[in-house]
Amino acid sequence: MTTDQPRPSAESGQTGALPDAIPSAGPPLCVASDLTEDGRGGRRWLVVADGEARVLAAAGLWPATGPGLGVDAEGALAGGRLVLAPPPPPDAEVTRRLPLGEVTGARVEPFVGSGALLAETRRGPVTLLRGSAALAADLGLAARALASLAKGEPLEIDPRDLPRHCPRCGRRLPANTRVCSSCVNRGAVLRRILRYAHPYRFQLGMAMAVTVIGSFVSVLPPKLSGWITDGLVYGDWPLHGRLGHGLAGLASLVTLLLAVSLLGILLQVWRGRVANRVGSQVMGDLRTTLWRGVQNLSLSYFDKAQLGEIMNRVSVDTARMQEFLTDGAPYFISEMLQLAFAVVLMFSMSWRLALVAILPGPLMIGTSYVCWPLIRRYDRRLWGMMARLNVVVNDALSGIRVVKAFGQEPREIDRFGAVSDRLVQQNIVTNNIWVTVFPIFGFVSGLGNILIWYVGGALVLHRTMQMGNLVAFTGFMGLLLGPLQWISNLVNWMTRAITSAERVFEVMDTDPDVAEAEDALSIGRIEGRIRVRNLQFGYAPHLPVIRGIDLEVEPGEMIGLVGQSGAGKSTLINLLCRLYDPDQGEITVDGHDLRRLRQDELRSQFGVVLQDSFLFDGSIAENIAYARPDATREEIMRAARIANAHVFIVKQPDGYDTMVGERGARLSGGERQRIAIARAILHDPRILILDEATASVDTQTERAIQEAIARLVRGRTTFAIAHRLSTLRGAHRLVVLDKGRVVETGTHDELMARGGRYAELVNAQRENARMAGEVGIGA
Amino acid sequence: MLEAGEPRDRTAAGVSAAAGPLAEDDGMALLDPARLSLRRGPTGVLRATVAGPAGLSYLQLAVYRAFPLSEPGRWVTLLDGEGREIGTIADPAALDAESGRLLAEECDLRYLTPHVVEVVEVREDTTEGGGWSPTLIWVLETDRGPLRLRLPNLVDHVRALGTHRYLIQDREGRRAEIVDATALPAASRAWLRRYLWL
Ligand SMILES: Nc1ncnc2c1ncn2[C@@H]1O[C@H](COP(=O)(O)OP(=O)(O)OP(=O)(O)O)[C@@H](O)[C@H]1O
Ligand SMILES: [Mg+2]
Repeated sequence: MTTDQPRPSAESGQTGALPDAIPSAGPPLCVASDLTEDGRGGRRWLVVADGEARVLAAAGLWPATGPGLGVDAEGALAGGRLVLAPPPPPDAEVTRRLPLGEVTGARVEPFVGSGALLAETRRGPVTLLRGSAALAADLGLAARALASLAKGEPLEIDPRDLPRHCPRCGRRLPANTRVCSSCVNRGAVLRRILRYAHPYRFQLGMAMAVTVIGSFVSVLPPKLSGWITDGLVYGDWPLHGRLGHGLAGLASLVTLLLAVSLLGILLQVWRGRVANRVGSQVMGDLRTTLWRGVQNLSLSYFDKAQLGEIMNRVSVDTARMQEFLTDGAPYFISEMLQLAFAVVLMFSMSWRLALVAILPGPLMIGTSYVCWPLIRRYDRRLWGMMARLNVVVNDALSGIRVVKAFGQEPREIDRFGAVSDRLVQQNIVTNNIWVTVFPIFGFVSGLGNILIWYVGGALVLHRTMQMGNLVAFTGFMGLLLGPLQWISNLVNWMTRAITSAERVFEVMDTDPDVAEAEDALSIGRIEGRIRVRNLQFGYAPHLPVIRGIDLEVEPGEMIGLVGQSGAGKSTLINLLCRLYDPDQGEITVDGHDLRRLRQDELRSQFGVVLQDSFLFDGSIAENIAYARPDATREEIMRAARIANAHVFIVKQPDGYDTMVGERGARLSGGERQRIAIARAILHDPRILILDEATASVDTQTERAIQEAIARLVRGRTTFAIAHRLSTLRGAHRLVVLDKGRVVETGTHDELMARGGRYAELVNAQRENARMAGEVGIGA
Repeated sequence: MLEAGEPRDRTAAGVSAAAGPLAEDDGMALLDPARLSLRRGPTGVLRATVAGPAGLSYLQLAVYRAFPLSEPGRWVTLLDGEGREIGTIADPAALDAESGRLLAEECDLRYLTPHVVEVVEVREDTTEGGGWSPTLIWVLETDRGPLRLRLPNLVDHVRALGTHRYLIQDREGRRAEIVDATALPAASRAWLRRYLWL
């Protein structure tokens, strides 16, 4: 650590992920960023060496994805060194030096689209690095490391907090994800659909055989009409007259024609029925799998995706796929077989004429191929707008009360109209392609027919071919024309089906961010000891909400979480329930990392009453028994009584059988909340979470529920959030959160004595209560 | 992490933020630009002084645009080092030249949004997202140098701010703004037509 630049040894050390491969020499901290001080693209480093922090600048830009991304030398932590980027080149210039002795702390200031790493000094904060939002995690780690180094402490960074890499391709994963989207094995879409058809392979095999026979049968009529023509014109009856001559020959050929047509129709009906059954069943399976996939998605997916869009996938896309499976695919196969048979027959009759006949084929296939990407892109847009429309509808319907209350119906109608208009425009553009391409295809394939008349006619005139063959050929052209014209339609059909399938599979393939560990532990009954260590989390990776929380909770302890709105209380709860995984740090239950535990076991022992209590479409009883469908009526009632909900429930005309409609709209806020509490009580969890569970009830009811909760929390680890601080009277300990950090912990009395943030809050509430002429709060 | 400097943040102790610096006539906590001056501290941190009898000064300052997209040039709210509201400047142009410059500089720092001068290329990466919604790689030239954004889709990552104005934000939160699509070179416009249905 004597040179200004990190030594090359550091470089070799960074290549491997194995910490022991890194020599202990080299600067203890090396991190790079992708922005200059004034926000341009550039290369900057922060290196701590020789007791000072140095900022270095070099010309040029980082590779597209930013520093540390795309190079394998990163994320190494060993021997108390944090190396997040390749070392600066020798020509890098030191632009700033800050002796570590002056540094009192370090933090990251998140901006919009970028962030800055600041060192706190006695003279004020000093900006060391600016980095784009993609580097938020790096800068955060570097800030922690810098703060530790400044205090002369060893680096304490959990290797799990380091940026993650895809185990397969080695690429750096975007913050907050575990799955490398480029490495998700998608497989050919068609093959995957077929996999769902596997259970029905017998029926499908039959259908296939029928299709083959049917297709062959359907190419016979032109051949027969050719025979008839030759018989009539040349007296040349087929099969050396074995079917008879003259009228008899004509009669038998016509009978044959009739029989073939009938058989063709019968086979077609049968094929259609089989395809219909199999197609519907396959789609049913697929739809269920899709729904399972949707249910298993992490909450973070729903933060990003809109409900209307997911609905579009479940309804529209599966319908499109079904359409393709029951109508499109069988039709496609039979048309293609028919084409093949016809071509073979044609070549057997006259290869020259056959060549002329298939001439337009490649032309059309080529055109389709060229149009394909365009069509896909348009289809994508069309779909996006449809989803948008769904979103608007969904939005307005869920908020219909608000819409009505504010008299905003005309505005919602306009909003719908605007999206619908764009859909109309896109529909016109997309369909314009079809209405143009379709007739052109018709014309081109018709060209074949015209050519046949000329070339075939000339052959007949030269007596190199018989009239019957020409007639048969024009018949075949009719058959060819069908499938060939259909190619354009088929492209449409296939595109829709395949894009739909991809969307459906996309949902199924989205590995939940909150994934079950492969060797998930089963720990049985949870005791309830919870440790939170250096917890950091943001819904968007660059905007931290929880900024380093440490907390220890004993089994059976009741913790009251207090803090301003937006302090991160609910977020902490979300992390405790493992609805999200932390960006850094960990939560352990009974000494096990949450991420290592089996989720079903975990969920079955966590009970939550959330801020916005959601009731499902069903009866009150079903809602209370949601987590325990086998609960008896008595158990349900007992839970309701404890939650002080029994009386209002029995007053309902249908008692416990009252349907609470979508979103439980027919109950008041407080009633809904009490049902949610009853739900948690019946669930009998080991860890109970109450997020503003009594916010919507009056003080008297609250008092009653309070007693119930006091009974309920006995022997369970409980986290309770409440703005009305009197609600937390029973808490053993209060934890005061502010801006994602714990600022105070202690009992009510301790915190009051301290006169800090909590005391402020309590006094403010007392003041309010006094003003409202209510009873005092506290004790 | 320690937040050093917090206790020393406010020199005029005991004066509530609502008292001194505000212009008299509003409930909006508007700051009087004539009495406000901004300077940089020794470490480069922005400081504010409010002239007048109450004479407040703030050693740490954070600036926020109230309408960073629809009216970035006006309505700048100042918060002190502890995140408390100092007040809002309705029109930064009314500040003295130096303060105005510093304020703009600080705003640009917080709202880093390079303006697109050229769309070099939009590439589809079908290894991500499949053929249906390939990740789009936008290769851009901006007023702050080249920029490459990976967008898993357009719906969530491109927001139309006006008829020809767009905000692009990638998955990680990096941004770029197309101020006026019609003013871009023809090739860029072709890319936009292709992907943004102009
Ligand atoms: N799903 C989400 N996606 C993005 N940001 C979120 C999400 N939920 C919450 N936030 C943000 O995270 C921060 C903390 O929110 P949180 O819900 O934890 O606050 P809280 O302490 O529970 O507040 P309250 O007392 O109002 O319920 C807020 O700034 C909020 O805007
Ligand atoms: Mg909350």
